[in-house]
Amino acid sequence: MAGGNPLTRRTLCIGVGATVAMAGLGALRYVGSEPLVRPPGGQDEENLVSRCVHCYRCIEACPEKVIVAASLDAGVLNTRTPRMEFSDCYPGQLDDFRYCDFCAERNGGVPLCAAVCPSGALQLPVDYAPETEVIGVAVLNTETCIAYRSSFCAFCHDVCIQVRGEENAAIYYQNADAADALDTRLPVVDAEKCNGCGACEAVCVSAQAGSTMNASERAIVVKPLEG
Amino acid sequence: MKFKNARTAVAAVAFAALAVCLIAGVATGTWCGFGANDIAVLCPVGALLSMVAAKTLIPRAVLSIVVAIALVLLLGRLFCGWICPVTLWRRVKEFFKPVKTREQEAEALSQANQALAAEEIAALKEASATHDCAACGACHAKRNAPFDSRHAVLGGALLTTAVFGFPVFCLVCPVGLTFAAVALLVSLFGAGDLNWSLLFVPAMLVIELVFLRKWCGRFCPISAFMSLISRFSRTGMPVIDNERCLETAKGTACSRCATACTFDVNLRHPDLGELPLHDCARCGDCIDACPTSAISFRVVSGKPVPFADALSTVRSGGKAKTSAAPALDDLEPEEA
Repeated sequence: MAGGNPLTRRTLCIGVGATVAMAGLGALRYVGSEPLVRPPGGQDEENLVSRCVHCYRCIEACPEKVIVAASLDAGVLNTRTPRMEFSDCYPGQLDDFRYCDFCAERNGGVPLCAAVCPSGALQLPVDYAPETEVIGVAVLNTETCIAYRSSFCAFCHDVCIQVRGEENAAIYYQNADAADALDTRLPVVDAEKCNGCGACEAVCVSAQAGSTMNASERAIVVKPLEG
Repeated sequence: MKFKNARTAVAAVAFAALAVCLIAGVATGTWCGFGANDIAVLCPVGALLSMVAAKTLIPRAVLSIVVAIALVLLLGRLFCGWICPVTLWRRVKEFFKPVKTREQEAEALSQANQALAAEEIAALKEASATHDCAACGACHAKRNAPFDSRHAVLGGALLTTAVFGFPVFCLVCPVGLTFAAVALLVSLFGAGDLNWSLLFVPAMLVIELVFLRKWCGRFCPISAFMSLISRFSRTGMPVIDNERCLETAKGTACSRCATACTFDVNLRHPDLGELPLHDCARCGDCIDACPTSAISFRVVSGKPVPFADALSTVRSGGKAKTSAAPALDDLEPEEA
């Protein structure tokens, strides 16, 4: 016999209460969540949200400091899971910006975030190669892009060539033939070539807050695939 | 230095080190997932929930659970006493409690514990003369159970995780939330990031650690997990020298060890604590509280001894200091 245990009612109350509270929190996943750009190996959304225990090792391991913990604003399911953040960089710094290079320099192309993940939430595909890995796709907003609105701007175009080389660059000029009319050149993203590295977003100089356009984000931002 | 201050210092230093690593970007992780480079262990509850959510066996999660079981077998709930950041929150909470309230609560608890002890001592003295005490156990009501509300919370955490497909409890775990708070402060002051987590995280911590009484002993599923294993631990526990203990040597109802215990364990009368003896977090508060310095940590502490057995051992030991009480030497050790 478990003895004259006077705690059974408390056990019941706390057990049921806590379970109901956690069920309520869990059910909030169906309220919906914002699609996020994930670190390398985190593209299987179901795998990521089920396994991530919010230990923050990926965030710490990222040498470029482009991984942050998502906040509650992105949905209960996403809360404290890792997401990519490229807009923290000071705009227009072609010699000082942060983006995801899949740790090509620092770890031979094996992303450190996925390497340190203890639960397999970030899991590189078996056929992983840094050259072919895609974490998102850059989307350019012609409403807010300076090149489309007013004057010539080449930051995203130039940085894309800088980090990916002429061959693989995903941003090209729509009207590149007009060699003599620099200020009419309009950047375009080739979604087939873009790997979502975020360099373009990191250097984009389009005005955000305080502008008349009332833009909430930079003119070129990386979006999740199939978002 | 008192154990209480020593373990607060240990927990604070450990937490500060991890917080600095989080800010500086040294990939040590947090207590949710801790390690260096490729070597890492997950929080056993996080590991369990993660596997339930993903409905797969995750090798590193299994390994983490095995490591956790081994550590708990050796050291019980040591994590709770010396490392868990909730220890620090408890000290903060204590600090803000008026001294008078604190003293009154301690006094009430002390009297309650002494009354329980006196009752058991008296009952044993009376009963031992007439019948086999250990087999009967009628001298006291058992006040704790092998499974309690924490285990129900652990069950609820597993259930909701299975239903909703993600580790729900991890979102509200005060250990994780403490580290989340650090990360939030960094993003608030670093990038000026304002978001709902800034409200959610402190609100959850306040609800769990201020409004819910006794989070560690009544709610925490990590504590529940550890207590499932620690019941088999026979090492590192504090042990009472019965020759010096006031209760066994002199028959005085003292129970200061029980009153001092941060984790609601009663070392002298294991059945009379709110939690069973295996929930001992090796915190050492009983050692500091003992008026005769009869308690010390033992590497091999052995099986917990019921009070009746301890008393009879001293009485039959022939030390003859307390011959006023009847001898209890016909008692057999009781199965715990």
